[in-house]
Amino acid sequence: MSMKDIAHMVNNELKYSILSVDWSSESRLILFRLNKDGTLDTSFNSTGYHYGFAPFCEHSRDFIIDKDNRYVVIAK
Amino acid sequence: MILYRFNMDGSPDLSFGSAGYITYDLSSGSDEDGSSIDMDGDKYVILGSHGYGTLLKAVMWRINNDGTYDTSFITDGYLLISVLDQDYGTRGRNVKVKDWFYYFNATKLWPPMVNVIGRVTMDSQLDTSIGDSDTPGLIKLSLNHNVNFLEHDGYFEFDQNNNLIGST
Repeated sequence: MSMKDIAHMVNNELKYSILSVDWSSESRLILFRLNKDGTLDTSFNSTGYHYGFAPFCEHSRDFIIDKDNRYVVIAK
Repeated sequence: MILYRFNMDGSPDLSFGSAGYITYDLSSGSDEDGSSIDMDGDKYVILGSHGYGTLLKAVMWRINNDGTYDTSFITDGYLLISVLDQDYGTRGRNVKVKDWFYYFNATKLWPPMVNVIGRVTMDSQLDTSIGDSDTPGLIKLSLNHNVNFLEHDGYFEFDQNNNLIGST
């Protein structure tokens, strides 16, 4: 896997969210959430990250956390 | 362009589109590339690019919370922005919502290359009270925009005194 950090943000609970792209396959988006100590937050999608949607080639670029604490990601 | 929405627990928000995402295609055969997103209330303001090959303009969308185009922003829900009155090679880079304006920067990658900052009112009008004489509404961030400087990227931010800081 070859990843590039695209954007990051800290939410109200001081958890770190990082948007990356995996360039090694279909440029799929990866959205991580980390705890303050840097470990993966497994309350997020049970793994601490979300790995894209097939079959799109997802050049993700930016994201926000909206007023309802949802993650909104844009991609090409 | 694709807009995804995830719940706070990381699961796709299945109330958004059919499976947690919505695709936007402004016309057949064109490319739409979202670059930056910010919020205006509960609406999403997105900046990106739209075009065919070198025919490329910056585009600003305002999307309702349910993912539909906000036609109260502009009839079609999106605003096309060209630089130096040309249709070539302009990519939208960043957007920030602040004080009743949508600030943005865009880069024109086709000669003459130039990086610009502008702002759009909430009813989709480019604010021509700012800008340079040959680019009303757009402030050029260039050392010399008549040559091919490497102005492929750019960024802007507001400092703690609300000064607009741009880079190219």
